[in-house]
Amino acid sequence: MKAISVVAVSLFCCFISQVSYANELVIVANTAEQEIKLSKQQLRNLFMGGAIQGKYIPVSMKPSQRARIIFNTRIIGLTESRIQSYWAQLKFTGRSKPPIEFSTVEELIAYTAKTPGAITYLPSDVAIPDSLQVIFSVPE
Amino acid sequence: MVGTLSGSNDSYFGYDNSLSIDNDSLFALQTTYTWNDKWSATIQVLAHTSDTRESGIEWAYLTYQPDKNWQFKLGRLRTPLLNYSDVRDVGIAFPWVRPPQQVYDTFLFSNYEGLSVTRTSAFDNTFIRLEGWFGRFDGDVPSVGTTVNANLDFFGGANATVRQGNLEFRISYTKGAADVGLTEINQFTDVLRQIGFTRNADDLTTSDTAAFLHGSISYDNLKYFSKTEYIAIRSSEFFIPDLNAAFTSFGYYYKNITAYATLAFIDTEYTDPDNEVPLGLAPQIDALSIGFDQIVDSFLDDDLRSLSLGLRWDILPTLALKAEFIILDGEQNERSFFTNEDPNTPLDNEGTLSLIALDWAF
Repeated sequence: MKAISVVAVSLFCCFISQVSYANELVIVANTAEQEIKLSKQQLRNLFMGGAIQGKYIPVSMKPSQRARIIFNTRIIGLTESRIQSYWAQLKFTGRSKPPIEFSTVEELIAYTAKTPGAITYLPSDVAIPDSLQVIFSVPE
Repeated sequence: MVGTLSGSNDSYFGYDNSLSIDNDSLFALQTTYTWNDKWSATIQVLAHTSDTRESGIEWAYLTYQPDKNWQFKLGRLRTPLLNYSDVRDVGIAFPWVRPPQQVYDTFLFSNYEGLSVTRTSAFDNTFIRLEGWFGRFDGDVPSVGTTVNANLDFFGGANATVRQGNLEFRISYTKGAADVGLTEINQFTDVLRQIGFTRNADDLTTSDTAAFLHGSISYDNLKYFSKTEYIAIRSSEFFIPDLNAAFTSFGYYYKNITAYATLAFIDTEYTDPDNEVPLGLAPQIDALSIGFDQIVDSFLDDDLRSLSLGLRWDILPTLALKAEFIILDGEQNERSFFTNEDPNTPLDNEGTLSLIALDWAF
């Protein structure tokens, strides 16, 4: 019995060791513009399907990923279930589509780095490629 | 969807004191074909178990989106009167088991064939969506336990949504000229007209113009939501009643659970035309006079208040289990959306509806 619980604990440790602990987020953009500054409200509008001049592409984590939960809480200001309800309505009526979603930070960075105009959020302790510009910090 | 009505011998929207598992269940498939970033086509096929809802192609339309701000849709579309009328069948989109009946089941013409134009604008703190639409409607509409055919040659409206932070306002206005297919009543009014009772014949005309007005306020944050919607119908003729209905709903989020309470009411009023057909002249005329009163009396008002308490559990982002208890308190001596299942006893117009639903979107 003891052996099993030790295995279970160590597996759990392996799993969480690959996940960022950061409670802070940075918002990064793939843009050639010198300095873009978006307000929290503009970011919220962008990730909730509102157009900001049509030139930015929101990129998101999949639901239940830590960075997404922090982003939902600090920027969107809605619970995941409410966000899902919101997108169900917009998707089914053909009004708008939710941002493209990735399950790992690596995929998120790779997609953002190759997509001009892409904007995403990342845990603050992740190495950010030079091609991406930090445009907003979400403090703890 | 599973439901049962307790404390009543009658039925309410198909629910009675037995356990009903097939009354409001539905399955829908929606697919969108995208040619490029400007043009797409969408079709939704719906299979519904309710006797008063039609199964088949619920919507089928072409979308043209020249840029991020403009959207044009052409085809069979959902009538965008209320906040959730276009996703009434997508349970995952709202907290309740079903949207409050007093507001959502009073609007009959759920889809139309025509054109919709939408313009969206986003400012720093404000999001605005304006939509205008028009078209026609020809189909069966639910009428307490049964359906009647209705035909709207003109049907159109406009709506505006303004979202500022977590607060959202929406208003809409819809107008329609309806021709309701009540053949027996038309035959009756033909007789009235031939004999010269043209005013009473006009009173029972089955062509009607109605205006629908809607307003709503919603607030959402991480802890709770609050939603209030109001609808008013004003009609020029007999067959569509004047109506006021509203609900206000308050919900609290705790982890994956949403607990909510909803208060709702509806007041309807049919016009009560004076009977100009005299009694006592001849048996045939008496029959006409009595027939006129019978028709007028058969359109009973629906006045109903309710309090509901419910829970929604989001098991997965796209899977929700919901339970709701709705305490119904209808006006006595009216119909109040109840159907009499025992002709020997009068309608009691009260009861508690218990509903459980599983909503899945894939």
